[in-house]
Amino acid sequence: MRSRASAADVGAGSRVAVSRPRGLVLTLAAVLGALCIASLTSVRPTLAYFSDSPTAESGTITGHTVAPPASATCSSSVLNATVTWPADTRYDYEVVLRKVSNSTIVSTTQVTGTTSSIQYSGLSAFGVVVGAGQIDFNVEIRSKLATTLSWVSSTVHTYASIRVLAILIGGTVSCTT
Amino acid sequence: MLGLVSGTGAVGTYAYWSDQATLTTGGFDSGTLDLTVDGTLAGQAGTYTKSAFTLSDMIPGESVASSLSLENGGSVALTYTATATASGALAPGLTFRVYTGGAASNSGTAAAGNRVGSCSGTSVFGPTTLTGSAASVIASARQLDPGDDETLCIVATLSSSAANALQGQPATASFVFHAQQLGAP
Repeated sequence: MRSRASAADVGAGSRVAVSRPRGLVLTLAAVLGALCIASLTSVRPTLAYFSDSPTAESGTITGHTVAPPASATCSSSVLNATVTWPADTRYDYEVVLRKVSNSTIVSTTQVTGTTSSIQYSGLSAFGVVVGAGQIDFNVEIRSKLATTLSWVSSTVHTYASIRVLAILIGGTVSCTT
Repeated sequence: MLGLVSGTGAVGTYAYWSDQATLTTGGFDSGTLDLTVDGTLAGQAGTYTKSAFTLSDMIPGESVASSLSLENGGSVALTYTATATASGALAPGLTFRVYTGGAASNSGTAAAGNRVGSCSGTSVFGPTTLTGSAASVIASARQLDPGDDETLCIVATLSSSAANALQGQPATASFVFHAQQLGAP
């Protein structure tokens, strides 16, 4: 049964008559508010998602080790000595002629390109003067990368021994490997 | 007596008709998100070693290229990015480049010291040295729909200024692909 409030009722403070419409409005507002909140909540995207994280690894990548010549041969004739070694197209070579008696370096020669030999010709190539007597020398060879000269073989290896005999009337050279 | 009968007759029946129906839905299956590498690593995560992506006896200036095939083997569209790391004593001397959509080619010989790897495609990273900290090599997310695939190509180069101390040293690189469903936050 619906109550009807008159002006007199309102003036008389009949709270029952006026409280029902106000309560209805408040209820509707609350419902609408809740619906609005619910609708706002429903459009928020999910934070969950599917994922996958496969990993691909390379094989091992290894740097080259610069190696000195595996071997060398030495040949001599009169006052010449020639040292020859197997060529590696990647390398240049640094050849050191060292006096055995005091380890003095007589000469350091850069051998480049496709060359893989060195010839010492005459007493001057050994820094020897006429009449100096018998002097022994060692030949050391170090490999270097032709494209990156800072990459050198770590092992200094003696490949040949050269004996020079310088007498007053000339001299002879002999060598062994 | 009549009152007794009428009293008894006023009790209602407790029997009633009823019915019930069951609704059975169709099946609900979750989608799958799966990024495979060279046709491997189906399912979640995993590690695949690209054995062809290797080079021994590398001298400064040489390089090697290798390609990877990435495929969306799942049922939902995905996007992916990638990060990479490198380890091993040779790593500081190596630089890496990454290309999308490219193919790898390699030429030269170890004996001549002239091996060169190259990639076609679009360069998206490098040349950069990789370290132990993950570097973003594919920063912009790339999309793959279910069944789609694309090729990545990677070039590793030993820098021409690599230090002499790197002789004989090894390195490996690792690439992690971060795939997630399309539209993920």
